[in-house]
Amino acid sequence: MTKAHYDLLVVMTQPPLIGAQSKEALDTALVSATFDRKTALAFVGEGVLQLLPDQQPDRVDSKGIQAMLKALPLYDLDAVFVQQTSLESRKLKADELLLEAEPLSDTALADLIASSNNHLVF
Amino acid sequence: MARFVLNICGAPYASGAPLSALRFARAALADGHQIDKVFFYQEGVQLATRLACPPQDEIHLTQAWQQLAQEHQLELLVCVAAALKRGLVDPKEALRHGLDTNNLAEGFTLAGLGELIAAMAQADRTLTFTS
Repeated sequence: MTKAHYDLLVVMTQPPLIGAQSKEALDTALVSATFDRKTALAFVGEGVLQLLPDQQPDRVDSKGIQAMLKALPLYDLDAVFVQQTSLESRKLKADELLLEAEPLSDTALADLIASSNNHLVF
Repeated sequence: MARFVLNICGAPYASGAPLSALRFARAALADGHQIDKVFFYQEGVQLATRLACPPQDEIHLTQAWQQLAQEHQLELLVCVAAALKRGLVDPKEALRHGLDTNNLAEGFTLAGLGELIAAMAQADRTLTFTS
């Protein structure tokens, strides 16, 4: 999967609850997928926290992207990657995330970036 | 000659994004390159207000972009969802949302994200300006 070539790689670097950044990132990825552009999502750094299950953003008057993330397969956006080192440094495991995301080593992440035509970093 | 799309995500004055993008656009055009579309997204949409009045001895970024766009027939597209969220509306959206005024500057057009995606697909390179 990581060998594939993508038209657009959307990189999520921001944690939940800090503003509209990640919602706007996801909107871009979803529109790209609906336009039949080969699209991938990568969660890196603090961005991996978006993937934690059982978040309740409504408790702090916010709307997270977690419901949208769960709906990604409906949009044919199934190329979802997560940076392994960012998971490890936060004591997280790929199999406890709210959706299936392929863990990538930093080298594999670099390959993904290199093999993608366009990048939008949020 | 290369074809560029510019994606401006940083706010005017709070970030250097619109100014850096403007300077890049001027240089690229002067070198014979083509700017297919200029897309304003996230905080970048704030550039498109017609109500900004910066001090006279500072650059007026909105007017600078309008002037460059006019000289080179550039399309200045503003993400409609990001704009509405931040209080940027054209007359049509003002009517739809029952607002008593509108503030989208002349030369800017509200557009969907699809326009950015389609433009990126055509361009040689898309540059994002955030800071």
